[in-house]
Amino acid sequence: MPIELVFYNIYMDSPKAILLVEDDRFLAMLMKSRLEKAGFGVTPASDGSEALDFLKSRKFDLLILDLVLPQISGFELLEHAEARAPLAITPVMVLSNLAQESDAAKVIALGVKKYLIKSRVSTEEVVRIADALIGVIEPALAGTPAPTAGFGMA
Amino acid sequence: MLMSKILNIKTILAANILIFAIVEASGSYFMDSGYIHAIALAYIVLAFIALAQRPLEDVFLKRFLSIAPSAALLLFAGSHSIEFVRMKFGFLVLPTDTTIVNILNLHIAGLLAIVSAAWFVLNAYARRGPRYLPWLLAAVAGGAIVLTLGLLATGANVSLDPHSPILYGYLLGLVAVLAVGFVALWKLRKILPILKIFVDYFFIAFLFIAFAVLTVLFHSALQSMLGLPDYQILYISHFALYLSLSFLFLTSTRLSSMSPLYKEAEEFMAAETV
Repeated sequence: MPIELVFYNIYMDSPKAILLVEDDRFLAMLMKSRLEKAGFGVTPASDGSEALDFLKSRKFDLLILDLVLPQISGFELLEHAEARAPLAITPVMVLSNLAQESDAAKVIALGVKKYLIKSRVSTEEVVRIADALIGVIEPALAGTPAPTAGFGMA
Repeated sequence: MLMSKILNIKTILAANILIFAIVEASGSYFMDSGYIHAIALAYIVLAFIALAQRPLEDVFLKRFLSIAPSAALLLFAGSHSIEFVRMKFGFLVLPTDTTIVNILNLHIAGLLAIVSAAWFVLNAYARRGPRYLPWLLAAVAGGAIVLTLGLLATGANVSLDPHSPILYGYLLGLVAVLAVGFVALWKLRKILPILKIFVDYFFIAFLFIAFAVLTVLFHSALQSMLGLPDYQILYISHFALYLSLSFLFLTSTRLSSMSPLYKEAEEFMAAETV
């Protein structure tokens, strides 16, 4: 088998990689479980600093980001010089408790694709939006239209 | 979860009314025996259990939702344990006003712990507001605890008569704590929808505890103006405290019920621990 095809098969068999940045360990465990069940590969990070290290060391297909985090906040991460290059090619979905439109507007201006408020969504909606943004190899929830950048619920 | 289902607002209010009726029907028995404080301790234990069941583990929010209320409950428990031991076994007997100052100190320190945490969360989420305020409030709470320990150790006499500046100092302090607390809670309610119903219940708990503290602070005035017996004032302040702790307990059920995500997290963690 040609080497290109081997790499192609490895790539195609690998689940789409999500970096999940969430400091609430209960929510992180829940989200990781649900996303993995849907076919994504999930790397959890509990603060902005850890997330930055991951972003510098490998490529992710999607970043799910909480905004209020220890060490480096989500806002700071989005503006961080060292995160600029990886974030230029990685779509970002924010999942935060912050509900003020000014917060959503600020991060959407920084390139965030979707802004979700934790008190208004379920994991099912998060999985559906992740799938619409990047898709999975074996689509669990195919047929969902791709979301546009927006504020509020799914 | 089962406890939350059984102990809803209706059953808790009914239980409170039943307890009030039993205590009132007994005359001064619950004061003389110290059991009025034992009941307070039972409420505190119940509120502790509720706090431990919260599905939220956010690094910032848990300081306001779990750690600070737990610290406040510990301080309230300390105050009522001292009172129970004093009434039941005759230990730690101090002059009346000194005892009242100790009760005030520990309850105000508890309120300060919660208000300090509320400002801490607000600073983190709103990314504005005075950064020093949570630390200042925590330092004042620490001062109140140190003062209580000092009074317990020395048994110094403190006057709370209507002409004493100490009385008005406490009143001003309490008003300041309430004002700073309400501003923090109001702002939190605005920027964090997840806390909306929680904060509403918290407001009520806060008001009841402030009423309990005021009743203790003005016990002499209430006695002379309304002609209420000593035990009745103690009961009124404790009934307010019981209601406050009841609402603090009820806040535990408010987070998961208002957000599908946190509801899922609660169920997920429950399934994981089985």
